[in-house]
Amino acid sequence: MSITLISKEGAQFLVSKPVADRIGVVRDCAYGADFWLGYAVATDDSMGITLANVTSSILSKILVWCEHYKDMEPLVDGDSNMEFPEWDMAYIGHDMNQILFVLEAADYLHIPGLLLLACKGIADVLDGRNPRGICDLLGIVMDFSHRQEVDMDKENGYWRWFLHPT
Amino acid sequence: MKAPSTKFTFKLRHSASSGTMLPFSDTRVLPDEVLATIFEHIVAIWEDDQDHDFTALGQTLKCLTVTCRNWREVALSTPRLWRNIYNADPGEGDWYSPEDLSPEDSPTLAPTYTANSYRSVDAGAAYFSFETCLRRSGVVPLRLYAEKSCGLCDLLIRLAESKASERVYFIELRDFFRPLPEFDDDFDFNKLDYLHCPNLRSVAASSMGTALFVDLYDMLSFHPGIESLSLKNVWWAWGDMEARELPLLMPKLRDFKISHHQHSGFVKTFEMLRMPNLERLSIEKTYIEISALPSLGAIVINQTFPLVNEVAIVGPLTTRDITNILDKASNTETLQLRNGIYDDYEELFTRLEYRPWDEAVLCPNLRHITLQRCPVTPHAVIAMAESRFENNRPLISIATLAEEWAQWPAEAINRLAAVAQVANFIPGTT
Repeated sequence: MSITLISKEGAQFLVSKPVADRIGVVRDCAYGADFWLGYAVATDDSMGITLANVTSSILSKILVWCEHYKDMEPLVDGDSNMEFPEWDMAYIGHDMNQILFVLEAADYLHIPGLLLLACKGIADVLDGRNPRGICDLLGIVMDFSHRQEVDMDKENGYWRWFLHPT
Repeated sequence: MKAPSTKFTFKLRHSASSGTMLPFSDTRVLPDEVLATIFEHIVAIWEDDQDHDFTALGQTLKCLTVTCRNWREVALSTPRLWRNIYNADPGEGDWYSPEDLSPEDSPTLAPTYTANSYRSVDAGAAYFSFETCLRRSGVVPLRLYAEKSCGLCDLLIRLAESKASERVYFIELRDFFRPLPEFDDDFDFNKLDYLHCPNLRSVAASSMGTALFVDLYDMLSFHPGIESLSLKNVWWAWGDMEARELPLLMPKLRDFKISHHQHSGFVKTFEMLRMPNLERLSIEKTYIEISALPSLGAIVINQTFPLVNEVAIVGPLTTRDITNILDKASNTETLQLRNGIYDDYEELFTRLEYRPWDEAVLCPNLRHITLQRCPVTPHAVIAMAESRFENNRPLISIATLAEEWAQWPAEAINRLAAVAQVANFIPGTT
């Protein structure tokens, strides 16, 4: 059996059942509640599922991951010290915008393994950066109140460190 | 004042010209739990680093708490970020040089540092206090780091008083080295039963003096549930263990790593620690005293490791010593040989050939070999791999650095690829 996934732009991706099974929302659509009750559900080959929030480029990238993990279990839970396979790290890369898109789509599509990998990818990019660098990278706006700034200054020399990071 | 958002929001700096932008606006929201997971991975990067520089971890955590309000709320409410508890005591003696530090080394350390004041240097100032970490860590398992002098004793007493001893699953001891006989009896924390950590599973000790190894021995004997042990640069000599005559049985130890030992310390360690259920053995940078060769130089281990399936040997051990080690781990399936620069491993690979008609086969179940800067020719590697292939005991993979493969003749790689998978080894991975 195969399932056709339709991206936001209308592009169609024909995927096999093991690949589609990696995507939680597709699995739910394809099997419905009966899947969770343990019943096998027959569906026809022409089934199409529209993923209105996912663009073609991100969907194609996600399907690469699903294809890779169609026959084996990805890391999905447990200690954050777990070691990701080399393939995973090469897949997720260091492009922050790209990782954020993948993370957002993985969250939307219910793909826990890919969501965890995206978190790891973001952590690798952020590691070693100072607050100003993070704000610049992510466009975060400083929103502390004056009282909070005073408290943090007492706690760890916040302003001096923020303005003059090593 | 507007209540803080419960979501982390940020704006993408770049436009969606690439066509990858999702349909809803350019402001994106990540659930707090996702943000917390990212933070946990950032701390995990530090935990996986062997250096465990608490100045760096302190800066990382401070960075997460001062970036924006939402980041601060998530960081402060994620217990696992605060599970690393650290204590450093400058102690006494001249082994610690404050001249190594400068205000530029750490902005948090700098205010407490003055050039001529040894006592004013407080390594703990670079990190969060014991009370802060314990409070913010909630009920999650703890990782304990003690550095210099009696820091561990102090930490364990405070943990016991806080009724948090049972949360400790990892302890690392560093830089406890002090020359004899300046040994403080107060450090013998195992005299106090309530300092026991019932859930301790992993211990790493480095740079310990001879006397303090007695305390390490006591600590290990007090915690039979330890599954992972790493000893680095532990110095001792014959006779140091007179007060502890019996070898220590560590029934649950699965993972043992020993590095930077001299010959006598290495042999003594394997004499005193019995590890019948070991599964992974790593020996790194152990040096043989040249003057002792050949009569006493050989590594002799008087115990076997029938369950060991992974052996990693890093550093200049001789063929004879590696053979002796592998002979004790006869069920090894994965073997790493790295940086063996002082010896010629041709003979070792001859011994690794599968020749059942000749002598006892070394590591008959070998499946994976990783080589990095090993003094062995392609011919010897191929002969070993082909002998195992021909005897229906084929290797699954042989890996080395990509640049080392580049130095192999193409014909040799093709011959090797015919009997085993040829893979690239990337340092830092297993």
